[in-house]
Amino acid sequence: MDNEVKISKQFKNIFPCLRYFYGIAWRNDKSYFLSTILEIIIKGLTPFINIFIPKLIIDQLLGEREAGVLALLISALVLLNLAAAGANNLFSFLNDKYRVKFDNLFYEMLGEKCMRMDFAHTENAEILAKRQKAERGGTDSTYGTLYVMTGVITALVSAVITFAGTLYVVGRLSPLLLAILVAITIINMVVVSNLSKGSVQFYKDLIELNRKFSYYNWNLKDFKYGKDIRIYNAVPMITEHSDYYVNTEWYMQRKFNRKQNKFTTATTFLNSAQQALLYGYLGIQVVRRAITVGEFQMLITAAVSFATSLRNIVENFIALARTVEFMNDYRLFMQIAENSRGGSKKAENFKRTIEFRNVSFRYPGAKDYSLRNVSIKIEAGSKLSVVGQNGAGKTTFIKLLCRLYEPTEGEILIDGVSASEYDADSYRELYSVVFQDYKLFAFTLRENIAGEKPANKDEILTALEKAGFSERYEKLEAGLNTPVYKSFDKNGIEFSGGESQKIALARAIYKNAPITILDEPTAALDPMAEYDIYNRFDQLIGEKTAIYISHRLSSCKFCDNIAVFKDGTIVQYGPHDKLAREGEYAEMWNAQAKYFG
Amino acid sequence: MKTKKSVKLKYSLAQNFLWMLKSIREFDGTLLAWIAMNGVSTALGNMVPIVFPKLIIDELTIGGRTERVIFLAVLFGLTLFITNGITGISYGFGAIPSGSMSIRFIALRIKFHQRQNLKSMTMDFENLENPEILDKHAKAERAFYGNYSGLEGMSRQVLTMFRSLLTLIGTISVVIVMGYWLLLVAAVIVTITYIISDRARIKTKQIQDELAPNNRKIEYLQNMTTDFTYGKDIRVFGFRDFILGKFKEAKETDFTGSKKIFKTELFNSNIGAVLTAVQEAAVYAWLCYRVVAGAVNIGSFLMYVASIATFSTAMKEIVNGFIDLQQQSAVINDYREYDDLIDTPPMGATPPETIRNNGAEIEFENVSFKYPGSEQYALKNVSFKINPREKLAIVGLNGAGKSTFIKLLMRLYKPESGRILINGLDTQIYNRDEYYKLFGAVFQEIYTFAFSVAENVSLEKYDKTNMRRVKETIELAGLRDKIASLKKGLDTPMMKNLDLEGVEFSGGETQKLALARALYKDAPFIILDEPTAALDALAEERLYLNFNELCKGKTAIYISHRLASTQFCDRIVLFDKSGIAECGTHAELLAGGGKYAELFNIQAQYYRDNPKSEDI
Repeated sequence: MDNEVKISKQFKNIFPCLRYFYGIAWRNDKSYFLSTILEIIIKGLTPFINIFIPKLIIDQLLGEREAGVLALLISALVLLNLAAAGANNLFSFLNDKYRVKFDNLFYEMLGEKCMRMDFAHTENAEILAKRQKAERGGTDSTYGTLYVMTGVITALVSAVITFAGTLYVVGRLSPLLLAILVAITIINMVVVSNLSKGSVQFYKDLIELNRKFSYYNWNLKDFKYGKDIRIYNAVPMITEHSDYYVNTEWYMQRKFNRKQNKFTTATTFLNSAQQALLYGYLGIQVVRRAITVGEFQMLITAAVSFATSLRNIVENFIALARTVEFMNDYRLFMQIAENSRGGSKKAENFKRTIEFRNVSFRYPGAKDYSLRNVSIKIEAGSKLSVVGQNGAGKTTFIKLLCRLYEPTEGEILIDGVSASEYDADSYRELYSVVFQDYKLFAFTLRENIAGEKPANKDEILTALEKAGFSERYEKLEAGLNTPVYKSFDKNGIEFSGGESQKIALARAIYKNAPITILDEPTAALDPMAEYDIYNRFDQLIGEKTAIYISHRLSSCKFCDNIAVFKDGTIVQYGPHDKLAREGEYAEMWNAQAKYFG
Repeated sequence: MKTKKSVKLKYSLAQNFLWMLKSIREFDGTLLAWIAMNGVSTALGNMVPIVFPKLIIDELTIGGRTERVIFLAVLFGLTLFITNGITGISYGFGAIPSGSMSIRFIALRIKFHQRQNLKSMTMDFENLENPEILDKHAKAERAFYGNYSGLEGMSRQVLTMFRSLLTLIGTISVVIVMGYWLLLVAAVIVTITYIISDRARIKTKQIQDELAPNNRKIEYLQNMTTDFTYGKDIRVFGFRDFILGKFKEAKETDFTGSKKIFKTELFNSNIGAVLTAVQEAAVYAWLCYRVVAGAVNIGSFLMYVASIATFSTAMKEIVNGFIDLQQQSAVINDYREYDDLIDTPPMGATPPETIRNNGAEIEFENVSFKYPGSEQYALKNVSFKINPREKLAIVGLNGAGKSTFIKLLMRLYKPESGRILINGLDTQIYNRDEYYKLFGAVFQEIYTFAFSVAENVSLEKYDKTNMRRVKETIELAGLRDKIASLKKGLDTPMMKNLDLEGVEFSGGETQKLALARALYKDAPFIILDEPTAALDALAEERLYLNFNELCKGKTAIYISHRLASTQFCDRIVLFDKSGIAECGTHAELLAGGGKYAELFNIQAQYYRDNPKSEDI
């Protein structure tokens, strides 16, 4: 667990954070500011209704007892309280509305940032951690920005107004009382701040603990684990782990509660003492005829408001400082630099060659290079097979080519122009890829293949056919509108591994980009389906450039050249007939071929 | 739509209330004592500021004795300290209560949450793929959504209502002196409030139900946009704007719906404000009249004003509490319905040791099976024998029933008809959990847990894990180098859920891990479903070469699309849509020239020296 958090360390972040979030709010909804300002003023003034009017009523009752004046005062009290309640309801409605609105907005911005940022960041554990923190900071309504924007700031500033007003009321009639109140409140403050010192850390630890706990109680219950849990009798292990966290949480809470109880008791004591002092001191003033009974009542109410507002100022300030730490997580995440946007050139087409020139690459934070001094030329229209053992650098090679990562050294040239000169989005237009760990989306089949592009049904069907999906497609009642997965739709289809792979392949075919990359596209297919794909490989790819990665070396036969990767370098290169005689490739080839001899 | 009456629930509010009391008593009896104590102290704490100021003001306006004023003021402070002190220690104050009771409420929820999870993890496997039960499960989940739902929600609500009830009794005894008709006014106001709140609740519920699918969509999209495993496809296929568009659309729907709920709340609370104003006006007017008439002094005047305010608050809390109780009761009902699902109790005999020691014959006798909710048979009339310690390969096209066959064998599903026998005895006679112990399996989809690598192999907690055996099996599965490259070796946590330093294994590594898992278990039957799909050529060959060593003395069933793997098995069965189509040794089947030979030749042609490349 982290070291003790110092609230004071957060002070310097308060203004940058407020400027950042209120800046976004200003650009999106100016009415929020009007509503907030009005709320602050009205909330700040509301306590004075019940400070002044009951006094006037008591004065009347003990004095002239004029029915007309009394009626007027009662009406004023009732109507003003009604107005205040109405305003309060309205503001809570508006705050609910703004909370949802900003929650949506901050989430949307976060989502866009995640989808836009350098891909390299997305595989970086540190960024992953930052993303989780940002999510909490931006959108959690108990611990995050929304709590500040629709609660803390209003409470803080309106308390200042109430504080100033009651200071005047109490100070004018009884300066000594004011001194007593300030003394008690300050002592109270010390107690409260002691209390919140531990609580910042506590809530931080609690969030962390809850995240872990939710893994046991929410993630692991996912039925997909069902088979393993049963066959391997994993229940005792999971239960024991879960119990461990439950116990940790229990003891942490208990320890915190014990500490908290001391402070709660101290605060209760001070509050009770304050009431006793107020009634005792002001009572004596009445007995001595220094103030009237009406003023007595007014001062009691005002004094309580005074103390409350002072406490609200401090507590909300602490809440702000505490939350700013979380808000800052969001702000910092949103400001992570995007380095790989590349130049401004639009990649129109690809005509001659792809060239890796002395490319070396190391994953961010890694010690060792994943690729070392790789140089290779791929001619337009040629078919390259990339083979090698797990971890040899094949997938990294592809990631660099698609510019999901930038080379650490060396460069990648497309038709002689450095890839980094192109705008990243337009550069990726050149590639159709079926990744090894491709993902389908819980949208319709059509959307999975075509995205939002105005979908041409015939072209989609052709792509599905080429991918060998036709037979399955015939059985889909909803055709292209079939939802993929059951996430939102009971009629959704959970396609098998082989079927999903074909859909991913159809997506790549539909994109119709000049360079096609297939990373283990037949891993989940049965022999017939694999044969089918092999057989129609030329038809699938046509005149386009293709890169094919597979552990099944049979696929090398229909490629022009084979690049054999080992430990991050290309150790062999050439057509099958040349390579099959000796070396790394021959060894792999024979390992598979001997069973078919 | 409007007449759509809510479905009859299995358990009534009263039944759930009693169940709640029973559950609390069962799990944490002291919590009931805390509730009683906190209820009394809170109610007294509410009465103190009503009574004492009156006494003091009476003294000020009538007696005027200084020492008496001081005495009363000190007594006031002291009583406040005692009552509020107890309240504070037991429950705490403010938005995030942190007194000693609150953790007990949380613990209660967690205990039931764990209980439900235990049920989910141990219930009949076939339930997990039954849509009806999935639905029940999803509904039951709501009981654990937070501090204010389900069992925890109801017990917290009961505490609040108990406090309010006591406060109500206290204030009524004051108000009734002032004029019983004020109670009638209050009763009318409460009735109106209840009717309006209940309507609002129904309307809110309706909107929430309508929004529920949209919420799931939002959750999915939120996860997807921030889940980086989608990152590559989103970037390469330019899905970003498309997904953002969908996200905005779903959020817009949510915003519109939420606004409707907020408007209902606004209307509701405004009606409440007006009713309060009416009550306030009546009370003040009546009291002023009484003061002017000389029937009530100023001290009593202030006391009545305060008590009627406290009275209304208590009343409101009871009304809202009652509405909430009904809601939580419905949630608890869903939980209990899931909890009531009848499960096959793990009864029956323990499989004899001879199976482990000498191997056993497995026989499928006219076995047929359909998945729940499916019309088609996944297996029909399958009869087949597996010899003791045989190495059997299963091949066939996707969807031919290979995986179903092994699921039935492992008793993850029960045959619809026919029997599966081990050494001539029906497998159903055995205790299910004991029966599971006979199998080590590598499933097609492999899931790792966010625990250490060693625990992922043993699936036992670290202090029970036999580390020597883990090391051996890791070695056998070909993962030694990978583990050696990890800083913490076998203690390295996997996945990032619990530890951001956790490692994510590649597909091939995960497959090796699963193999180690199956070997660690050292069960008499070992089942491998496509265990080399993600392995490279050399790793695959290593597995082939070691296969007989790995499965020595065991019955092994090997499912694969790579027909090379079949050659080191004693026998091969080929499944097609009608069930088992061919069976025999590799040589026999090849010579037979059937489907197996066809599949084999398809794969083999690429590896032969003179491929008919012009055909490709």
